Amino acid sequence: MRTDDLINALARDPVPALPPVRHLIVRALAISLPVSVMLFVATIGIRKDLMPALAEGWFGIKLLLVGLIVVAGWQLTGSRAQPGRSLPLLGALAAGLAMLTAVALDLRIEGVAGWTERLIGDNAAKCMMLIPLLSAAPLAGLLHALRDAATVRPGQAGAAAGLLAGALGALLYGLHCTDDSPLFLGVWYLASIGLMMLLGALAGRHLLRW
Amino acid sequence: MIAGGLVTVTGFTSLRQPFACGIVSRVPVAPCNICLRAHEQEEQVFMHDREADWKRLLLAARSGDEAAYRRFLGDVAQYLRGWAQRGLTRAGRSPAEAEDIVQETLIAIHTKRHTWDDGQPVGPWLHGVARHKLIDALRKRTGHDHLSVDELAEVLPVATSGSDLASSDILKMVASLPERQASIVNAIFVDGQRANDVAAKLNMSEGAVRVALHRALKTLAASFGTGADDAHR
Repeated sequence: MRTDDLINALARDPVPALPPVRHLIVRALAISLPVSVMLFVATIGIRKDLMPALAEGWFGIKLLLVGLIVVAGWQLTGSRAQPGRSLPLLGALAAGLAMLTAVALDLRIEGVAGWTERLIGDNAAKCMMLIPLLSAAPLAGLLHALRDAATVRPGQAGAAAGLLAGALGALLYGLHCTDDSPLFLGVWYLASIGLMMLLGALAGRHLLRW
Repeated sequence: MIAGGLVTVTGFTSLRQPFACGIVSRVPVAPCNICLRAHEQEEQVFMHDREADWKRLLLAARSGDEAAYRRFLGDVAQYLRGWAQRGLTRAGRSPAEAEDIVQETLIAIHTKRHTWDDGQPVGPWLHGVARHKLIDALRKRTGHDHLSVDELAEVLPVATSGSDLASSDILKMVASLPERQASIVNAIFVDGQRANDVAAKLNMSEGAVRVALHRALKTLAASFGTGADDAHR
Protein backbone atom coordinates (compact mmCIF):
# COMPACT_ATOMS: atom_id res chain seq x y z
CA MET A 1 0.00 0.00 0.00
CA ARG A 2 1.31 3.43 -0.87
CA THR A 3 1.26 6.02 1.86
CA ASP A 4 -0.36 8.56 -0.46
CA ASP A 5 -3.27 6.19 -1.06
CA LEU A 6 -3.64 5.70 2.64
CA ILE A 7 -3.66 9.46 3.19
CA ASN A 8 -6.25 9.97 0.47
CA ALA A 9 -8.48 7.32 1.97
CA LEU A 10 -8.15 8.65 5.50
CA ALA A 11 -8.66 12.24 4.36
CA ARG A 12 -12.17 11.41 3.12
CA ASP A 13 -13.21 11.07 6.72
CA PRO A 14 -11.95 14.24 8.42
CA VAL A 15 -14.48 14.61 11.25
CA PRO A 16 -13.74 12.54 14.39
CA ALA A 17 -16.33 9.84 15.01
CA LEU A 18 -15.94 10.04 18.78
CA PRO A 19 -16.41 12.96 21.18
CA PRO A 20 -13.49 14.51 23.11
CA VAL A 21 -11.96 12.39 25.87
CA ARG A 22 -13.49 14.50 28.67
CA HIS A 23 -16.94 13.75 27.26
CA LEU A 24 -16.15 10.04 27.12
CA ILE A 25 -15.12 10.11 30.79
CA VAL A 26 -18.14 12.17 31.88
CA ARG A 27 -20.44 9.87 29.93
CA ALA A 28 -18.91 6.80 31.54
CA LEU A 29 -19.41 8.28 35.00
CA ALA A 30 -22.94 9.43 34.19
CA ILE A 31 -23.83 5.83 33.39
CA SER A 32 -21.84 3.97 36.04
CA LEU A 33 -22.10 6.24 39.06
CA PRO A 34 -25.90 5.89 39.39
CA VAL A 35 -25.35 2.14 39.72
CA SER A 36 -23.16 2.77 42.77
CA VAL A 37 -25.59 5.33 44.16
CA MET A 38 -28.49 2.89 43.85
CA LEU A 39 -26.41 0.18 45.47
CA PHE A 40 -25.52 2.62 48.25
CA VAL A 41 -29.10 3.73 48.86
CA ALA A 42 -30.47 0.19 48.70
CA THR A 43 -27.94 -1.22 51.18
CA ILE A 44 -26.30 1.13 53.70
CA GLY A 45 -27.65 4.61 52.89
CA ILE A 46 -26.75 8.00 54.35
CA ARG A 47 -25.99 8.09 58.08
CA LYS A 48 -28.95 8.99 60.32
CA ASP A 49 -27.19 11.83 62.13
CA LEU A 50 -26.26 13.73 58.97
CA MET A 51 -27.16 17.25 60.16
CA PRO A 52 -25.53 17.12 63.59
CA ALA A 53 -22.48 15.45 62.03
CA LEU A 54 -22.15 18.26 59.51
CA ALA A 55 -22.31 20.80 62.32
CA GLU A 56 -19.64 18.94 64.24
CA GLY A 57 -16.88 19.56 61.66
CA TRP A 58 -14.83 16.41 61.13
CA PHE A 59 -17.52 14.89 58.90
CA GLY A 60 -17.35 17.90 56.57
CA ILE A 61 -13.55 17.79 56.56
CA LYS A 62 -13.70 14.10 55.66
CA LEU A 63 -15.94 14.76 52.66
CA LEU A 64 -13.72 17.67 51.62
CA LEU A 65 -10.58 15.52 51.76
CA VAL A 66 -12.15 12.73 49.71
CA GLY A 67 -13.47 15.40 47.33
CA LEU A 68 -9.89 16.58 46.78
CA ILE A 69 -8.88 13.03 45.88
CA VAL A 70 -11.75 12.91 43.38
CA VAL A 71 -10.39 16.09 41.76
CA ALA A 72 -6.86 14.64 41.65
CA GLY A 73 -8.20 11.41 40.12
CA TRP A 74 -10.21 13.34 37.54
CA GLN A 75 -7.14 15.34 36.47
CA LEU A 76 -4.89 12.29 36.31
CA THR A 77 -7.41 10.20 34.39
CA GLY A 78 -7.90 12.94 31.80
CA SER A 79 -4.18 13.38 31.32
CA ARG A 80 -3.47 9.65 31.02
CA ALA A 81 -6.19 9.29 28.40
CA GLN A 82 -4.45 11.60 25.94
CA PRO A 83 -0.93 11.36 24.52
CA GLY A 84 1.48 14.22 25.08
CA ARG A 85 0.01 15.37 28.38
CA SER A 86 2.25 16.03 31.36
CA LEU A 87 1.33 14.43 34.67
CA PRO A 88 -0.88 16.94 36.57
CA LEU A 89 0.44 16.35 40.07
CA LEU A 90 -0.87 19.58 41.57
CA GLY A 91 -4.22 18.07 42.51
CA ALA A 92 -2.63 14.98 44.06
CA LEU A 93 -0.13 17.17 45.91
CA ALA A 94 -2.93 19.37 47.27
CA ALA A 95 -4.89 16.32 48.40
CA GLY A 96 -1.80 14.88 50.12
CA LEU A 97 -0.97 18.13 51.88
CA ALA A 98 -4.58 18.59 52.98
CA MET A 99 -4.58 15.06 54.37
CA LEU A 100 -1.39 15.66 56.38
CA THR A 101 -2.73 18.96 57.68
CA ALA A 102 -5.97 17.30 58.73
CA VAL A 103 -4.08 14.55 60.57
CA ALA A 104 -1.99 17.17 62.40
CA LEU A 105 -5.18 19.09 63.23
CA ASP A 106 -6.81 15.91 64.57
CA LEU A 107 -3.87 15.17 66.85
CA ARG A 108 -3.79 18.78 68.09
CA ILE A 109 -7.52 19.28 68.67
CA GLU A 110 -8.60 15.80 69.79
CA GLY A 111 -5.32 15.15 71.59
CA VAL A 112 -2.71 12.47 71.09
CA ALA A 113 -4.43 10.28 73.68
CA GLY A 114 -6.85 7.84 72.08
CA TRP A 115 -5.32 8.16 68.60
CA THR A 116 -5.24 4.40 68.13
CA GLU A 117 -8.98 4.16 68.79
CA ARG A 118 -9.70 6.90 66.28
CA LEU A 119 -7.44 5.23 63.75
CA ILE A 120 -8.95 1.77 64.15
CA GLY A 121 -12.45 3.21 64.35
CA ASP A 122 -15.63 1.14 64.41
CA ASN A 123 -15.99 -0.05 60.83
CA ALA A 124 -12.55 -0.65 59.33
CA ALA A 125 -13.44 -4.01 57.76
CA LYS A 126 -16.76 -2.69 56.44
CA CYS A 127 -14.93 0.28 54.95
CA MET A 128 -12.35 -1.89 53.23
CA MET A 129 -15.11 -4.02 51.77
CA LEU A 130 -17.70 -1.44 50.80
CA ILE A 131 -15.49 1.21 49.19
CA PRO A 132 -14.20 -1.25 46.55
CA LEU A 133 -17.76 -2.53 46.06
CA LEU A 134 -19.11 0.99 45.52
CA SER A 135 -16.17 1.80 43.20
CA ALA A 136 -16.51 -1.26 41.00
CA ALA A 137 -19.09 0.13 38.55
CA PRO A 138 -17.29 3.48 38.04
CA LEU A 139 -13.98 1.66 37.50
CA ALA A 140 -15.54 -0.62 34.91
CA GLY A 141 -17.19 2.34 33.21
CA LEU A 142 -13.97 4.37 33.17
CA LEU A 143 -11.89 1.50 31.81
CA HIS A 144 -14.46 0.96 29.10
CA ALA A 145 -14.35 4.66 28.18
CA LEU A 146 -10.55 4.72 28.22
CA ARG A 147 -10.47 2.00 25.57
CA ASP A 148 -11.83 4.66 23.22
CA ALA A 149 -9.20 7.14 24.37
CA ALA A 150 -5.48 6.94 23.57
CA THR A 151 -3.65 5.54 26.58
CA VAL A 152 0.05 5.48 25.79
CA ARG A 153 0.74 4.23 29.35
CA PRO A 154 -2.00 1.67 29.98
CA GLY A 155 -0.91 0.86 33.54
CA GLN A 156 -0.84 4.50 34.60
CA ALA A 157 -4.16 5.18 32.90
CA GLY A 158 -5.73 2.23 34.71
CA ALA A 159 -4.30 3.38 38.04
CA ALA A 160 -5.65 6.90 37.48
CA ALA A 161 -9.09 5.45 36.68
CA GLY A 162 -8.82 3.36 39.87
CA LEU A 163 -7.99 6.49 41.86
CA LEU A 164 -10.99 8.36 40.48
CA ALA A 165 -13.37 5.41 40.88
CA GLY A 166 -12.02 4.61 44.34
CA ALA A 167 -12.38 8.22 45.49
CA LEU A 168 -15.95 8.35 44.19
CA GLY A 169 -16.76 5.12 46.01
CA ALA A 170 -15.13 6.52 49.14
CA LEU A 171 -17.19 9.71 48.85
CA LEU A 172 -20.38 7.65 48.79
CA TYR A 173 -19.25 5.42 51.63
CA GLY A 174 -18.18 8.53 53.55
CA LEU A 175 -21.80 9.69 53.61
CA HIS A 176 -22.66 6.55 55.56
CA CYS A 177 -19.59 5.95 57.68
CA THR A 178 -19.43 7.45 61.17
CA ASP A 179 -15.64 7.22 61.45
CA ASP A 180 -14.79 10.84 60.69
CA SER A 181 -11.24 11.11 62.04
CA PRO A 182 -8.58 11.99 59.46
CA LEU A 183 -6.54 9.22 61.06
CA PHE A 184 -9.16 6.66 60.03
CA LEU A 185 -9.39 8.27 56.62
CA GLY A 186 -5.63 8.23 56.14
CA VAL A 187 -5.44 4.50 56.76
CA TRP A 188 -8.62 2.72 55.68
CA TYR A 189 -10.02 5.01 53.04
CA LEU A 190 -6.63 5.43 51.42
CA ALA A 191 -5.98 1.69 51.57
CA SER A 192 -9.30 1.01 49.82
CA ILE A 193 -8.61 3.63 47.18
CA GLY A 194 -5.10 2.24 46.78
CA LEU A 195 -6.58 -1.20 46.22
CA MET A 196 -8.75 0.22 43.44
CA MET A 197 -5.66 1.88 41.91
CA LEU A 198 -3.86 -1.44 41.94
CA LEU A 199 -6.84 -3.20 40.35
CA GLY A 200 -7.12 -0.42 37.78
CA ALA A 201 -3.43 -0.62 36.93
CA LEU A 202 -3.55 -4.40 36.49
CA ALA A 203 -6.72 -4.25 34.40
CA GLY A 204 -5.40 -1.29 32.43
CA ARG A 205 -2.26 -3.11 31.39
CA HIS A 206 -4.40 -5.70 29.68
CA LEU A 207 -7.44 -3.73 28.56
CA LEU A 208 -5.95 -0.40 27.56
CA ARG A 209 -3.27 -1.50 25.10
CA TRP A 210 -3.78 -0.33 21.53
CA MET B 1 4.72 49.07 -19.56
CA ILE B 2 1.81 46.64 -19.23
CA ALA B 3 4.14 43.78 -18.28
CA GLY B 4 5.79 45.99 -15.68
CA GLY B 5 2.37 46.78 -14.29
CA LEU B 6 1.54 43.09 -14.07
CA VAL B 7 4.73 42.30 -12.24
CA THR B 8 3.98 45.05 -9.78
CA VAL B 9 0.49 43.70 -9.25
CA THR B 10 1.75 40.15 -8.73
CA GLY B 11 4.46 41.38 -6.42
CA PHE B 12 2.03 43.49 -4.52
CA THR B 13 -0.43 40.66 -4.05
CA SER B 14 2.22 38.21 -2.93
CA LEU B 15 3.61 40.74 -0.50
CA ARG B 16 0.23 41.25 1.01
CA GLN B 17 -0.59 37.57 0.99
CA PRO B 18 2.71 35.72 0.85
CA PHE B 19 1.02 32.42 1.69
CA ALA B 20 -1.43 32.56 -1.20
CA CYS B 21 1.48 32.28 -3.62
CA GLY B 22 1.50 29.07 -5.67
CA ILE B 23 0.80 26.46 -3.04
CA VAL B 24 -2.60 27.45 -1.82
CA SER B 25 -4.09 28.93 -4.98
CA ARG B 26 -2.50 26.27 -7.23
CA VAL B 27 -2.66 28.83 -10.05
CA PRO B 28 0.57 28.81 -12.05
CA VAL B 29 2.30 32.07 -11.26
CA ALA B 30 5.18 33.41 -13.33
CA PRO B 31 8.33 33.07 -11.24
CA CYS B 32 9.33 36.51 -10.08
CA ASN B 33 11.84 37.34 -7.41
CA ILE B 34 9.30 38.61 -4.97
CA CYS B 35 7.23 35.45 -5.38
CA LEU B 36 10.23 33.19 -4.87
CA ARG B 37 11.21 35.11 -1.81
CA ALA B 38 7.69 34.84 -0.54
CA HIS B 39 7.85 31.10 -1.13
CA GLU B 40 11.09 30.77 0.80
CA GLN B 41 9.59 32.88 3.51
CA GLU B 42 6.59 30.61 3.56
CA GLU B 43 8.78 27.54 3.97
CA GLN B 44 10.69 29.17 6.76
CA VAL B 45 7.51 30.21 8.48
CA PHE B 46 6.16 26.70 7.96
CA MET B 47 9.25 25.06 9.43
CA HIS B 48 9.30 27.52 12.25
CA ASP B 49 5.63 27.47 12.93
CA ARG B 50 4.57 23.93 12.06
CA GLU B 51 2.59 23.82 15.26
CA ALA B 52 0.29 26.69 14.30
CA ASP B 53 -0.13 25.22 10.84
CA TRP B 54 -1.07 21.75 12.06
CA LYS B 55 -3.46 23.20 14.57
CA ARG B 56 -5.19 25.27 11.89
CA LEU B 57 -5.45 22.25 9.57
CA LEU B 58 -6.73 19.92 12.27
CA LEU B 59 -9.33 22.45 13.35
CA ALA B 60 -10.47 22.81 9.74
CA ALA B 61 -10.60 19.01 9.46
CA ARG B 62 -12.85 18.88 12.51
CA SER B 63 -15.37 21.02 10.71
CA GLY B 64 -15.31 18.65 7.74
CA ASP B 65 -12.60 20.15 5.49
CA GLU B 66 -11.21 17.13 3.60
CA ALA B 67 -8.53 19.14 1.79
CA ALA B 68 -7.18 20.50 5.07
CA TYR B 69 -7.15 17.02 6.59
CA ARG B 70 -5.35 15.59 3.56
CA ARG B 71 -2.74 18.34 3.79
CA PHE B 72 -2.35 17.73 7.51
CA LEU B 73 -1.84 13.99 7.01
CA GLY B 74 0.56 14.64 4.14
CA ASP B 75 2.64 17.06 6.20
CA VAL B 76 2.60 14.71 9.16
CA ALA B 77 3.61 11.72 6.99
CA GLN B 78 6.56 13.66 5.62
CA TYR B 79 7.58 14.75 9.09
CA LEU B 80 7.12 11.26 10.55
CA ARG B 81 9.20 9.67 7.79
CA GLY B 82 12.33 11.50 8.88
CA TRP B 83 11.46 11.05 12.52
CA ALA B 84 10.89 7.30 12.19
CA GLN B 85 14.07 6.83 10.16
CA ARG B 86 16.10 8.57 12.85
CA GLY B 87 14.37 6.55 15.55
CA LEU B 88 14.97 3.26 13.75
CA THR B 89 18.60 4.08 13.08
CA ARG B 90 19.11 4.98 16.71
CA ALA B 91 17.54 1.69 17.73
CA GLY B 92 19.88 -0.15 15.39
CA ARG B 93 17.08 -1.09 13.00
CA SER B 94 16.76 -0.63 9.28
CA PRO B 95 15.38 2.80 8.37
CA ALA B 96 13.66 1.04 5.46
CA GLU B 97 11.01 -0.04 7.95
CA ALA B 98 10.10 3.61 8.46
CA GLU B 99 7.29 3.55 5.92
CA ASP B 100 5.43 0.84 7.84
CA ILE B 101 5.70 2.89 11.00
CA VAL B 102 4.59 6.03 9.16
CA GLN B 103 1.49 4.19 7.94
CA GLU B 104 0.74 2.59 11.29
CA THR B 105 1.11 5.98 12.95
CA LEU B 106 -1.11 7.69 10.39
CA ILE B 107 -3.84 5.14 11.03
CA ALA B 108 -3.39 5.59 14.78
CA ILE B 109 -3.58 9.38 14.42
CA HIS B 110 -6.71 8.93 12.35
CA THR B 111 -8.53 6.54 14.68
CA LYS B 112 -7.48 8.52 17.76
CA ARG B 113 -7.89 12.01 16.33
CA HIS B 114 -10.67 12.80 18.81
CA THR B 115 -8.15 12.55 21.68
CA TRP B 116 -6.50 15.79 20.60
CA ASP B 117 -8.11 18.69 22.48
CA ASP B 118 -8.14 21.93 20.54
CA GLY B 119 -6.77 23.70 23.62
CA GLN B 120 -3.73 21.41 23.54
CA PRO B 121 -0.66 21.79 21.30
CA VAL B 122 -0.64 19.32 18.39
CA GLY B 123 3.09 18.51 18.51
CA PRO B 124 3.28 16.71 21.88
CA TRP B 125 0.06 14.82 21.17
CA LEU B 126 1.31 13.68 17.79
CA HIS B 127 4.69 12.68 19.19
CA GLY B 128 2.96 10.74 21.95
CA VAL B 129 1.03 8.68 19.40
CA ALA B 130 4.07 8.31 17.12
CA ARG B 131 6.40 7.22 19.92
CA HIS B 132 3.80 4.69 21.05
CA LYS B 133 3.63 3.24 17.55
CA LEU B 134 7.40 3.27 17.04
CA ILE B 135 8.05 1.44 20.31
CA ASP B 136 5.30 -0.99 19.38
CA ALA B 137 6.80 -1.60 15.98
CA LEU B 138 10.28 -2.12 17.44
CA ARG B 139 8.95 -4.60 20.00
CA LYS B 140 6.98 -6.43 17.35
CA ARG B 141 9.97 -6.72 15.07
CA THR B 142 12.51 -7.66 17.71
CA GLY B 143 13.93 -11.06 17.05
CA HIS B 144 13.84 -11.16 13.29
CA ASP B 145 15.62 -9.66 10.27
CA HIS B 146 18.43 -7.81 11.98
CA LEU B 147 20.56 -5.74 9.66
CA SER B 148 24.24 -5.09 10.11
CA VAL B 149 25.63 -1.58 10.11
CA ASP B 150 27.01 -2.05 6.59
CA GLU B 151 23.70 -3.12 5.20
CA LEU B 152 22.13 -0.24 7.04
CA ALA B 153 24.40 2.25 5.31
CA GLU B 154 23.31 0.77 1.98
CA VAL B 155 19.66 1.05 2.80
CA LEU B 156 19.77 4.56 4.18
CA PRO B 157 19.79 6.61 0.94
CA VAL B 158 17.10 4.38 -0.58
CA ALA B 159 14.87 4.87 2.38
CA THR B 160 14.72 8.62 1.94
CA SER B 161 13.12 8.30 -1.50
CA GLY B 162 9.69 8.89 -0.07
CA SER B 163 6.27 7.47 0.16
CA ASP B 164 6.29 4.97 -2.69
CA LEU B 165 7.88 2.23 -0.64
CA ALA B 166 5.55 -0.69 -0.49
CA SER B 167 4.62 -1.86 2.97
CA SER B 168 3.93 -5.53 3.16
CA ASP B 169 2.95 -5.58 6.83
CA ILE B 170 -0.25 -3.65 6.40
CA LEU B 171 -1.29 -5.66 3.32
CA LYS B 172 -0.84 -8.85 5.35
CA MET B 173 -2.98 -7.43 8.11
CA VAL B 174 -5.65 -6.30 5.66
CA ALA B 175 -5.77 -9.82 4.26
CA SER B 176 -6.54 -11.15 7.73
CA LEU B 177 -9.63 -8.93 8.07
CA PRO B 178 -13.13 -10.32 7.48
CA GLU B 179 -13.71 -10.69 3.74
CA ARG B 180 -16.08 -7.77 3.29
CA GLN B 181 -13.95 -5.39 5.35
CA ALA B 182 -10.83 -6.47 3.48
CA SER B 183 -12.46 -5.81 0.10
CA ILE B 184 -13.63 -2.38 1.29
CA VAL B 185 -10.18 -1.48 2.60
CA ASN B 186 -8.56 -2.68 -0.61
CA ALA B 187 -11.04 -0.84 -2.82
CA ILE B 188 -10.65 2.43 -0.93
CA PHE B 189 -7.01 2.38 0.13
CA VAL B 190 -5.28 0.46 -2.62
CA ASP B 191 -7.48 1.22 -5.65
CA GLY B 192 -8.43 4.67 -4.40
CA GLN B 193 -12.16 4.30 -5.05
CA ARG B 194 -14.71 6.57 -3.42
CA ALA B 195 -16.90 5.21 -0.64
CA ASN B 196 -20.13 5.66 -2.60
CA ASP B 197 -18.76 3.70 -5.58
CA VAL B 198 -17.68 0.90 -3.30
CA ALA B 199 -21.09 0.97 -1.66
CA ALA B 200 -22.84 0.61 -5.03
CA LYS B 201 -20.52 -2.23 -6.06
CA LEU B 202 -21.00 -4.17 -2.82
CA ASN B 203 -24.72 -3.42 -2.67
CA MET B 204 -24.37 -1.60 0.66
CA SER B 205 -25.30 1.86 1.84
CA GLU B 206 -22.51 4.41 1.93
CA GLY B 207 -22.96 4.72 5.68
CA ALA B 208 -22.50 0.97 6.07
CA VAL B 209 -19.30 1.13 4.03
CA ARG B 210 -17.98 3.91 6.25
CA VAL B 211 -18.89 1.97 9.37
CA ALA B 212 -17.19 -1.16 8.00
CA LEU B 213 -14.15 0.93 7.08
CA HIS B 214 -14.07 2.41 10.55
CA ARG B 215 -14.26 -1.07 12.12
CA ALA B 216 -11.54 -2.31 9.79
CA LEU B 217 -9.27 0.59 10.75
CA LYS B 218 -9.93 -0.07 14.39
CA THR B 219 -9.08 -3.75 13.94
CA LEU B 220 -5.93 -2.81 12.04
CA ALA B 221 -4.93 -0.33 14.72
CA ALA B 222 -5.58 -2.97 17.37
CA SER B 223 -3.57 -5.63 15.57
CA PHE B 224 -0.61 -3.24 15.44
CA GLY B 225 -0.93 -3.06 19.19
CA THR B 226 -1.32 -6.76 19.90
CA GLY B 227 1.43 -7.67 17.48
CA ALA B 228 3.79 -6.86 20.33
CA ASP B 229 2.16 -9.50 22.49
CA ASP B 230 2.16 -12.10 19.75
CA ALA B 231 5.90 -11.66 19.27
CA HIS B 232 6.49 -12.39 22.93
CA ARG B 233 4.26 -15.42 23.10
